Amino acid sequence: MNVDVGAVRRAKEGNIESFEMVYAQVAPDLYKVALYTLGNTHDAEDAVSETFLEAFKGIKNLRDETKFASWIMKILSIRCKRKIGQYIKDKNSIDIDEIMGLTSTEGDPTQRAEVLTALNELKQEERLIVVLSVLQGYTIREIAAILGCPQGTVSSKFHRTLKKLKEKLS
Amino acid sequence: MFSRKDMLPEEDIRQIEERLQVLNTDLGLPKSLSAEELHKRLTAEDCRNFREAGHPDFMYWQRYAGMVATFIIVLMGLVAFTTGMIPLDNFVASSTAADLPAAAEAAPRAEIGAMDMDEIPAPEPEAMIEEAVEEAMETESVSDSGAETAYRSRLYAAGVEDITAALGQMEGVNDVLLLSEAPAASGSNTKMKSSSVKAPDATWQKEFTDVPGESADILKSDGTYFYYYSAPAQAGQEGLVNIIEAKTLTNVATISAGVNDGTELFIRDGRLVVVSQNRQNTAEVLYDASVLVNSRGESVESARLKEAAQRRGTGYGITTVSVYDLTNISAPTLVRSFMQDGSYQYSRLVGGRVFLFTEKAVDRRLALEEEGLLCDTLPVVRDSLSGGSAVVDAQNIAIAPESTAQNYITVSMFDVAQDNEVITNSVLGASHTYLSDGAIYFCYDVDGSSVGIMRMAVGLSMNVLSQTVVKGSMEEPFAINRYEDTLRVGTVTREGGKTYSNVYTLDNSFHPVGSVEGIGSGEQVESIRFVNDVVYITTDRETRPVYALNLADPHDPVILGQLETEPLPANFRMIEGSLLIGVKEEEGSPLRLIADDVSSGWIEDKYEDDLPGAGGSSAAATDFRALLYNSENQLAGFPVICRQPNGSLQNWGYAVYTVNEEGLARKGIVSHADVLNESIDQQRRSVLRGRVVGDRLYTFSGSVVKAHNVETLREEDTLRLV
Repeated sequence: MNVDVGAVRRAKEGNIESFEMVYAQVAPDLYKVALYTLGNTHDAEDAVSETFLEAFKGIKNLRDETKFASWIMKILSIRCKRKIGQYIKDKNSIDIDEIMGLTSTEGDPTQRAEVLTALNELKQEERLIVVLSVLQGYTIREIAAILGCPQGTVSSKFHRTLKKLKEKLS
Repeated sequence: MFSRKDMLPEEDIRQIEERLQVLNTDLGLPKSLSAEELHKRLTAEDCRNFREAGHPDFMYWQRYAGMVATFIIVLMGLVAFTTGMIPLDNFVASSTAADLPAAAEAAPRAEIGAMDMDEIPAPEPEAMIEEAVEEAMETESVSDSGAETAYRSRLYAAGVEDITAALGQMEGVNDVLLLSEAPAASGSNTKMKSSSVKAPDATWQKEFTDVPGESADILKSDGTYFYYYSAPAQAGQEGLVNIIEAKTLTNVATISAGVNDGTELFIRDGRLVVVSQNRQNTAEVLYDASVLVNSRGESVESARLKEAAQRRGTGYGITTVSVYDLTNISAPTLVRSFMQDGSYQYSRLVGGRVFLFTEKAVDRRLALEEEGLLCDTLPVVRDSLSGGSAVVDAQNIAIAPESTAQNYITVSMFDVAQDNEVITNSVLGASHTYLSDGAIYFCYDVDGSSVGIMRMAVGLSMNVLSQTVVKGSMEEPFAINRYEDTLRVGTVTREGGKTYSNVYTLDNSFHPVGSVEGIGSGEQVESIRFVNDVVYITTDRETRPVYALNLADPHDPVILGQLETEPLPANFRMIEGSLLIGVKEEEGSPLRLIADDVSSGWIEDKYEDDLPGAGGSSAAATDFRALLYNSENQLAGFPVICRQPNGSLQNWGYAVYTVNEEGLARKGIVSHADVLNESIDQQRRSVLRGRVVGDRLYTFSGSVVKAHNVETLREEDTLRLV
């Protein structure tokens, strides 16, 4: 995510328009992460909108403007986890049809459906780690900070998840 | 489990990442998530606060002013002492209790630093709670020493100010505080590595198999009736508690559990206890005007009460305990309703008394702001027998020293059969708990390299009376265990890129009496399990050794050695003396029931049986409540999903075995499914529990209850649930 650090600074100083500008810069990525983690648009929209509100209220406490992207991603990951915790047990699935409908004009739909099906076999936390790493480009260390987990835990989960995906996709 | 050799080659990783890139397309942002639309959700107050808070010069001035004020006070104090204006002697006598923590803090972290005092003796491990209550009555009457009072005053808050001060000192990874799990220790502290006490999550077994009393569960029986909670077919619908007569297999009554996120039951003394996590229609009841008040006692304006309540209900979570009188079994009567905020952790019934544990994440920003509401700073409870909602008294809140976990673990206890007062205590900064005879242990991370443990004595009341710190991190809830007056703790230390485990034993007074450190150096610890007086530590070395230590003499733990054997299953039951049974799931292998003999202290793989198929899963692998053992018939049962090599279903039902010292024998797999597919309707027929009453085995799924002959498993009766 590319974020205007100057706008973040102005947002911290109380400029609402600047906050909305930096939010707009990160919103598509936030939505993507939430959607692939939670598996449906309704919950993803809930998680992102709650993230907006919490970030709005908390940005004055952000110490380092250059860390805005990972900071707001942490807020989102916490929101996603709370959503997951609210699910009746075993609600784990991705609404593949719904997501396919969002991207129907791009790329190879067969490939995408295969990957979504494989992703559907993962637990939500596993999806979150993979999405943050592969689609968002965060390092294991950064993901550990975002999720509040030990780095070793994230590393082992990441590699186990890739192994699972390899078996599903092969 | 995971080790370096399990990492995929770089090329494989790249290939998978490339395939995942098909998802990296533009999904478009829904209009509801545009800044313009979300701006409409902001209140005028939100915008005003946003603008006014953005004055960095003011914030820095506040911080420096505080530092200068502190310096001046300390300087004046030094001047006063050195010039004799204030005699030092005045402070010596009253600092006895305060010396204890100072002395303990000076102890090197590598050793166990017990910061306790002479403690109320704990009841015998085998004692029922009634005996523990009697003993507590005796000791409470003599325990009112000045040092104990001083020590309690050190651990408990004196008032809300202490709570806000503690919250103000807590630092997370960042200062944006949400209604979230405890953040990891700050990365700016170079001493801290990656270890921490993990907050419980949905994948952890929240309960232990060797604690007093019984766990709540979706199915209970008194031998005449079954009390069974069936979840709704779809989210947003009501769940139902069914009361079913066993003999006739008829539904005699149904109780609505409302729309909820999970419900469990107890049955005791003619009363049914229904524990539900349910935040949608209970928020406005719990968060009433009496707790939606700021520090000046001003309530939220009435037009905003509902929104404020619902927001908190969704964020913090609410757990409700409903007690029904069953005098008229066909018309149960609600006699009590108790609510507690926080997400439900677990509950336990010990000697007729319910213990309810919830975890409430503190939104520190809300708690510390000037207009912060009481319900954002403190846990909230409500008892139908005593009136409206109330915050937990700050004087019943202990603060875990040096913890950075911004959450409360709240425990409430009350008698099922009597309408006495609910007693509630909270610990700010705890991460998880262990319930033992007469005591509750609260565990939390200290600096990322040690575990703090607070001991709460439980009798007629609850009191946190002692606290200690052990080296390492506690990575799973099974790693703390009490056996015959000894508390055993297994921890994991990560230093310089290496990992090893440690075992500590502490006596009844929380004094360390024995330790073994450096077990399995360089190997990733998979699990730590205590079974009677032996602890088994499994690591991820290629041969997956299990280290066994004999703790029969807690002063002198003995390493029995390494066992080249399969580790114990995650969840097991002790049957027939020293036989452990458990269900193992392993990817790429069939589901397996195993029975291990641990009578010699070694794990002797005695019997095992693979279920049909090439793979499978069972709720009993992660939830011991799903594993049935009926000693009268020597019958074991558990839910199974067995799959063929291509992933399609092979069996879906409830596996039944006879299990004894002579072996395992599979009697069969009973099923509720009409056809073998994974449609929504068939998923509702997935068997969740089994129970033996008389000469019948009853199996329970989401939509059906069946009765089978316990010998032949022939189906004898069926009840379709509403």
